[in-house]
Amino acid sequence: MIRSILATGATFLATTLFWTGYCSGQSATNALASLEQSATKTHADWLRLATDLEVRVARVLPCDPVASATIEETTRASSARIVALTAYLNAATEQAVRDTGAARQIQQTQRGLLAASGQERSDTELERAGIESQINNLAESVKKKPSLGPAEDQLKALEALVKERAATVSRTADAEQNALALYDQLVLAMERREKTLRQQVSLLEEERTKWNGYYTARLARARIECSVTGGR
Amino acid sequence: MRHISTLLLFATALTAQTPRDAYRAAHQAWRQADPLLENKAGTPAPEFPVDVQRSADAAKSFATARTAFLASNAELSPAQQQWAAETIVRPQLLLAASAEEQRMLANATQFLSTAVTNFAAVRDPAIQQVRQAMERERAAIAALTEAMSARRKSLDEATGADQDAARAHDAAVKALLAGSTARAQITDQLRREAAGWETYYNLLLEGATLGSRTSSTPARAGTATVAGNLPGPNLPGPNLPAPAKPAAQPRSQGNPSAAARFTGAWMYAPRGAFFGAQPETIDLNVSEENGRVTGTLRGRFVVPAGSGGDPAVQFTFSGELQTTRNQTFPLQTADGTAGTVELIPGGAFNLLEVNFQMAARTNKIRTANFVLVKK
Repeated sequence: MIRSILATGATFLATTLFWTGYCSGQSATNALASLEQSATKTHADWLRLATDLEVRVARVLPCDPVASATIEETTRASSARIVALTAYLNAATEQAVRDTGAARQIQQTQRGLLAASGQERSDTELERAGIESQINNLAESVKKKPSLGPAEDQLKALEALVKERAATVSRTADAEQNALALYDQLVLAMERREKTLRQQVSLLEEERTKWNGYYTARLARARIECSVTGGR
Repeated sequence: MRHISTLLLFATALTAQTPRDAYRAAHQAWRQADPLLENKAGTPAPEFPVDVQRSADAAKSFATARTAFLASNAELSPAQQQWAAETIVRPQLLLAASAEEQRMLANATQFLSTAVTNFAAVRDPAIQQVRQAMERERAAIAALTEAMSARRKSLDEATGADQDAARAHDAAVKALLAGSTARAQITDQLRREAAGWETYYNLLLEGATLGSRTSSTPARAGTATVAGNLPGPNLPGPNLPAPAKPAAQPRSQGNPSAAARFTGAWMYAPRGAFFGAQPETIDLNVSEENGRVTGTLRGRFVVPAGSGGDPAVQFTFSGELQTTRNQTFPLQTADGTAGTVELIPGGAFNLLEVNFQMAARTNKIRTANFVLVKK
C-alpha cells in the first residue's frame, strides 16, 4: 500500500515537474521568434554582400586593400548568418525536445486512463449490482405494500441509467484504446522530427566549415593575383 | 507571470484530483447504511424515515465524491490545453538554401572552370599560380555544394517529419478532446443519477408511509371504504405502526406559491400507490385563477365481480387557494353528495397524493387515497 502511494506520488511529481518545464519552456518559444528574426536579417545582410562580391572585387586593383577587406567582410557576414541560423535551429530543437516530452507524457497519461478503465467498469458494475440487490429487496416489499410501486419504478429507472453510464464508459474505453495508436504515432513522429532537427544542426556546422573554406580560398586567390601582378 | 499562473492552475488541478478511494469508501458507507432498508419498507417501523434519511444522505455523499472524481478526470489540465492549442514549429523555410545562393555558387563555378581551362595552355608561371588558386577555389565550392546538397536532402526528410508530426499532433489533440468530452458526458450521466436517487428515497418514504399515515387517521382506519360489499383496503392498515412524518418531506409547511404543485392534468399510473379502494383509472384536472381553485375528478375503481358496487366516481370541487402546502376543498358529486378532497404535493414534482371522503351512499365509493402522476 505504502509502496503504491509512493509510486503514485513519484509519478505525480514527475508529471508536475515535466509540465512545469513544459510551461516554462513557453518563454523559449517566444525567444524562438526573436532568433528567427535575427537569422532572417543576418542572412539578408550576407546575401547582399555575397551577391555582388565579385563585382566589387573586380572594380579595384588586385593589391587594393579594399579587395581583401571586401572578401573578409563577406566572410564575417557568412559566419554571422550561420551562427544566427544555428542558434535558431538549436532553439527549435529544444522546443522539439519539449514537444517530444509532452507527447510522451500524454501517451503515458492516456495509457494510465485506459488502464484505469477496467477499474471504472468494475466500479460501475458494483454500483449496478447494488441497485439490483435493492430492486430484489424492494420487490418483496412491493408485494406487501403496492404503494411502493413508484419507488420500485424509480429504482429500475436508476438501474437503467447506471447501465447507460456503463455503456458510455465502455465506449469511451474502446475509443481510448484505439486512440493509443495515435499517441504512439505522435511520439514516433516527434522523435523523428527531433532527430532530423539535430541532423540539421550538425549539417549546418559542416556547411559553415565549407563556406569558410570557400572564402579562405577566395582570399588566397586575391592575394596570389596581387603578388603575380605586383600591384599593377 | 502568465506561465507562473498557468503552472499554479495546473498544480491546483493536480492537487484537486480525487482518488478512487474517496468515492469507494462513500459507496461502501452508503451500502452499509441500511442494507435492509428496502426490505423494511414493506413493514416500516417508526424509525423508518430516519433510516431512509441516513441512506439518502449516504447516497448523496457517494454521488458527490464519484462526480468529483470523474470531473477531475474529464478536464484537461491548463498545460495540456496549452499543448493542444500550440502549432508545431516548422523552420524549413528559413533553413532552405535560397535560389540566389545556389545561382551565385553556380556562376562562380562556371567562371572558375572557364578560367582554369583557358589558363591551362598558358606557360606563364604566374598565370599557373592563379590557375592553381582557382582550382583550389573551385574545389572548395564543390565541397561546399556537396555539403549543401547533403543538408538539403536531410532538410527534405525534416520537412516530411515535420508534416507527420503536425498531422500526428492534430490527430492526438482530437482524440484527447474526444476523450475529455466523453468523460464529461459520464460525469453528466452521474449527476442525473444523483438527482434520481433523491427522488427515489422520497418515493420510498412516501410509498412506505402512505398507508401508515392514513391508517392512523380515524376516518380512514377501518378498512371498508364503501358501504356494501366492496373490498377493504389493499393493506393491513390498522396493524401498521404509525411512523414519524418524513423528515425529508414535510407535509404541512405553508407555501402559498405552490399552486403549480397541484394544478394541471393528473392521472393514475398503472401500479400506482393507493390505500383503500384500488383505482383502475383516475383523471384529475385542477386549475387556479385569481386565487380560486377548481377541479374535476373522474375515476373508476376495482370492485369485486357481482358485488353490485359502482366503480365510477365523479365529482367537482372548488375553493380559495390556501397558504398551506396541502389544499383541502369541499367536493360535490353530480347527485349532490358532499364531501372533501385533500390535495397533497408529492415528494417529486410530478406526483400528487389525493384523499377524498364523501357521505356514505349504498354501493358507492365513499373514500379513497392514491397517488397521481402529472400527465
